[in-house]
Amino acid sequence: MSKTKILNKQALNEKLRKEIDLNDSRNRPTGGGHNTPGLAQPKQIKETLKRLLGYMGVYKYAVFLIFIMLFIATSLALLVPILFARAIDEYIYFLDFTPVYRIAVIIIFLALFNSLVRFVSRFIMVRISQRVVKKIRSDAFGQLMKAPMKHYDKMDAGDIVSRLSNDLELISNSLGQVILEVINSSIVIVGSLVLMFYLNWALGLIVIVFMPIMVLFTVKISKKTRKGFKAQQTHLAKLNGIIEENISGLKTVKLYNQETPFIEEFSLENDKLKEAGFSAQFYSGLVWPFIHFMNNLMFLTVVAVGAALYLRYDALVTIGQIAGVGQYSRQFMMPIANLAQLFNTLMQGIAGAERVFELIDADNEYALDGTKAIDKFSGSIEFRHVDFSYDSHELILKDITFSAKSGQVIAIVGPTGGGKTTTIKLINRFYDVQSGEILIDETPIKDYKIDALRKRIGVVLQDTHLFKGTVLENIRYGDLKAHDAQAIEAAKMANAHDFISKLPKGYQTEIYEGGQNFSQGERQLISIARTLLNNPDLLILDEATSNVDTRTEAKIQDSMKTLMQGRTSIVIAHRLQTIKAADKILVIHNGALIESGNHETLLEEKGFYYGLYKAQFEQ
Amino acid sequence: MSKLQRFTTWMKGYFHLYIIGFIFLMMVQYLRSVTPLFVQHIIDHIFGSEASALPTFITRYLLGDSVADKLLIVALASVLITLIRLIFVFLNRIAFATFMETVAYRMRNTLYNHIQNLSFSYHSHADTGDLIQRTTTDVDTYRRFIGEQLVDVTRLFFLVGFAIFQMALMNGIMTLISLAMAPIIFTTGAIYFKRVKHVFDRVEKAEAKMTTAVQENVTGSRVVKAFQNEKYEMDKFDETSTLFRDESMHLTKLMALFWSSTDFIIFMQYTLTASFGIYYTVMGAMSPGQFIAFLTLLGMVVWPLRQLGRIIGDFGKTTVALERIDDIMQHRSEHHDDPAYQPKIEGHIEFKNVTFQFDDDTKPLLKNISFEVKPSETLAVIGKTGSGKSTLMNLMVRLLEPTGGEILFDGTNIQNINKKHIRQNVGIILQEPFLYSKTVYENIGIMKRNADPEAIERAAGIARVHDDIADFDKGYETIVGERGVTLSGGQKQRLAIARMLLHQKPVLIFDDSLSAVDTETDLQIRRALMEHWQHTTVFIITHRITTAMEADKIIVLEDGEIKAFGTHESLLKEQGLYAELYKQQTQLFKEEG
Repeated sequence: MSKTKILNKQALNEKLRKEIDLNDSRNRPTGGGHNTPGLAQPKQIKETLKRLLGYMGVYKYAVFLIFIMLFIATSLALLVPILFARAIDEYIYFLDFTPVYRIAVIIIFLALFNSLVRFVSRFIMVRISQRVVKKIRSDAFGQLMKAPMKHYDKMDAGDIVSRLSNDLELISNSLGQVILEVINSSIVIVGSLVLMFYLNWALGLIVIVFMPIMVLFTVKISKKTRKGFKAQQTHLAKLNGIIEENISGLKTVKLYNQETPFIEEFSLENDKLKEAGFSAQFYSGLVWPFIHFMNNLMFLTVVAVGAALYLRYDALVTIGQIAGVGQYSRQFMMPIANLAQLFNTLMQGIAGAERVFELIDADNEYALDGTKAIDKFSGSIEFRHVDFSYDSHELILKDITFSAKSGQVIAIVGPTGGGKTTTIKLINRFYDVQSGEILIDETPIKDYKIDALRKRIGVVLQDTHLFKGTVLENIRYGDLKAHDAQAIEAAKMANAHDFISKLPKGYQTEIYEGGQNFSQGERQLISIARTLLNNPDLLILDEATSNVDTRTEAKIQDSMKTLMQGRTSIVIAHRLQTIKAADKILVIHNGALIESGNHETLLEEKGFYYGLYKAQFEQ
Repeated sequence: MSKLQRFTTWMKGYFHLYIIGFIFLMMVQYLRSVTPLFVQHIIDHIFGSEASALPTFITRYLLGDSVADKLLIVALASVLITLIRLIFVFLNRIAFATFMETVAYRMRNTLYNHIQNLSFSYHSHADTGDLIQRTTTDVDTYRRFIGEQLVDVTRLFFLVGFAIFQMALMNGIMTLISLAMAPIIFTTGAIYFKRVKHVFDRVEKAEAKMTTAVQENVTGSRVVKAFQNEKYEMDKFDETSTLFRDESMHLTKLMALFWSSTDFIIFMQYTLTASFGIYYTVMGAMSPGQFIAFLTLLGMVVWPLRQLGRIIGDFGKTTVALERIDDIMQHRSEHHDDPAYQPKIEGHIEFKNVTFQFDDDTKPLLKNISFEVKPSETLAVIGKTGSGKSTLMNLMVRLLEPTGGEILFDGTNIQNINKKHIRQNVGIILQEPFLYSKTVYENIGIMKRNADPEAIERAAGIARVHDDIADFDKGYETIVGERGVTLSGGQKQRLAIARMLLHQKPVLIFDDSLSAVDTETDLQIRRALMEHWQHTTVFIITHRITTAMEADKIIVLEDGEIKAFGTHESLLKEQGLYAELYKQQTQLFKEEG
């Protein structure tokens, strides 16, 4: 947990830096991948982009408006050097300063108008991208809720969290920034070129000759910087990984006297980071000075050549034109450098979008939903020749057939990894069978509506999951409509009331993430209370094997008994007491149902169960 | 340690580089402030007849017979100046980059080294996440501070200073007019950046809330689905997601307000300067070239001013980061004045009235523990969670030091024996073994990095984990640990046993190390192990009575005290806690008769 938190903090700091820079185009640092933690390149650029634009469709008029506004403002701003040129040629040259005031006022108003438009459009764009991202996030999360268990098995929580936060952040950055800057930069580049030629074709030609060389250099150096930053990120991540692993496993390191080899490993990686950091720092500091240099060079070339032309053939150029073209030539290096960077931002955004869309495209288990709604099961269960496999290669369960009458208790026993847990996971359709059928009340479970089916089946597993929130909220999770009094009643029935009331804040005690502040036994008691409140008709239980002290275990046993009263129950059993009380015992080994019967008949058979019993209960 | 000292500890030997960097930085900024003066020179001096504002060390070379020649020379000179500037930037980057990366490098190495050698009692009270953050984020904060923020501030100060200097040389009154809004710009920036930090905190909190919601739903998906609370979870998520969006929006608005209002102020300044400039120019109090140079120089003053508030605002973070790092460094290494004595350890162990209590605890974890184990005997320690079982073990390998009494190995107080030597000789298998993100081979051979694969596989066989490993996609080459395949608790425990099987140790401790293995496999493994470690003194820490009862001697531990000591039979007769536990755990067997 702490790891993700730190990462988030770093990401936010990056964001802070970036958002501030984003708003100040005059002082934008080198960028080009501060926040690129070694991301993969997108695979399906076109499709993803289309989809992303689809999300923006709602706001197409707003985006169009922004486009128009930006177009007008930028075009007007582009006229400033022409105004300058005229001011110089027509007035200043003749030392007539009065109309210059007017031109100065016009220029100032143009600049003001331009910055107002930029501000408004940027603001609207940020709003739009925040909305779009929120919509995508909701869609992705909603889909996540509907995804089958199989899907969850394949992904780890950290990955999903990062998709829903970092990747979406990438999209949101790239959406706003890219659209605005692409519009702006293209207008500036094209406009400057056209106006330069309009002012004076000869000077325009000089710029055209210069341009490719500059673009080439700029692109090259930007690439180097990006690479440097990327390498720095990668090495930093690796180094952090080593530190994290080492500190969390510190006891082992000490016990095994492994300090020196780990220090060596660290030092090696640290060295690489230093090198990468150096080149990132070095090149990043060079980009803008270099562009400045090139700009000055170009400007001065224009001025020098212009002046030479002016002195030899004064019909060809005027001083005002030299000043004007000079200004244009300075203007469009920045947008070209920007565009190069934007491409990178866009790619990051698309790659982020791809990963998020992957979530949205996951299977929907409700696509295979049944139609039959029920309020109550009478409670008979039947497995008919059930085969199951997680990956459709290796069968985990083979031809399982058994039945339980309403109100019966079925105990499942067998060695670890034999398929006991898998068997119970099939009953509430967390996974669907490969072949064969499972029936409840003589109806295949596939015909029931999934929500109805799951509501009527209660599950209490060994590794109980509790949510962050109060104890009371966690119990009420079993029935969100239940009153507090009902929840407390359920806790009493589950033998959980005693320990809960002894907590300093009682039912209002906060449960930390993953329930770390409660023992496993306590967590299980809370989960039993939760299930009691849900009041299911069928029960699936997994008895605790370890890490529970004897007294708590007795409590758990007792409350499980309460829970099982009057309900058909399937129990993965470890206690002889439970097993003996069961109406039927199923012995599952290597995915097959090898024996079934009650305690006495199975002992008499002297088969697998007999051996198991001997090994576990009689030493 | 004083603040300055703390700040410079890591720079020793490289400080001159830093100074050189700053000198180049200063020169670069000076040259930048000179650039607008070339335009003034051309307009006023070459075309007009006014004096050049360029410094004499440049004008001295700007000679020429005709206007054309002069222009050409000026153009060349200015290109040359920008080129020199570029070279200086280049040198300045090399100096700073080398400096900051070296400092960060040394810092990380020292910290990492030091943390490894800190005592176990330090670590058992330290928060892992926090420690990690100190070695990574805090170091980076410092690195950025010395290499970026401090440099940025200095750069901006130089730039602003030189620009004002050039302006003042040309026209004093105009300089004052041009600085009219400067205090407002700076103060607005400073206030804004202070305020925006709080808003950022709120955004961060909102995001953390949202992230937690996602994380919980993914890890608890089973429960959500079982109770059909998907709709509820989606609503809850939507709430956090909306909060996040609203907070972000708030931030956006605040930023927009700041940037646009300061933009406006800056434009006002431009208007002011331009109006007065034109007025003075028309009146003849200022030359046109000076006017143009003024406008450019103004840009070098007002834009940086706005940034200063942000960078200065960040300074506080560095102090905090340094304090946090310093805090680690102040703790002594556990190997500091550790004895060098490394006797051969036979496995005779004696506890004499051993008591242990953490400094900041009110109650001792162990009280007056005394017992004796002879070489190749097996001793079981049974007790509930929190009874002090693990502390007992930590004392034996000197991860913790007793606060009273003494522990003797073959008659020698272990405080006189080298720590690393003890750990070399006492093998411990933890209940929750730690696996590194390395291959299975490497993990098993972690203490014997050159062990041959066959030996490793043999060990895995004895520990009953070979079949599990063979089932992995890449077998023994599979990467496990946090960044690899996740193993079950039982698999981890068996892997840890395999690790230990590569060695012969005089003393071995099983810290509940088969708790996640089913009883049957547990028994099989234990039988195999007893054979392998016949001549080893073995400690078994457990809460399973069936595991404890086979030991030569059994200690029953409760609340840090030995409640009973004896063999299985003698303890049963005592009718104490042991008998009670025995009854609880085997009750049903007894019913059987």
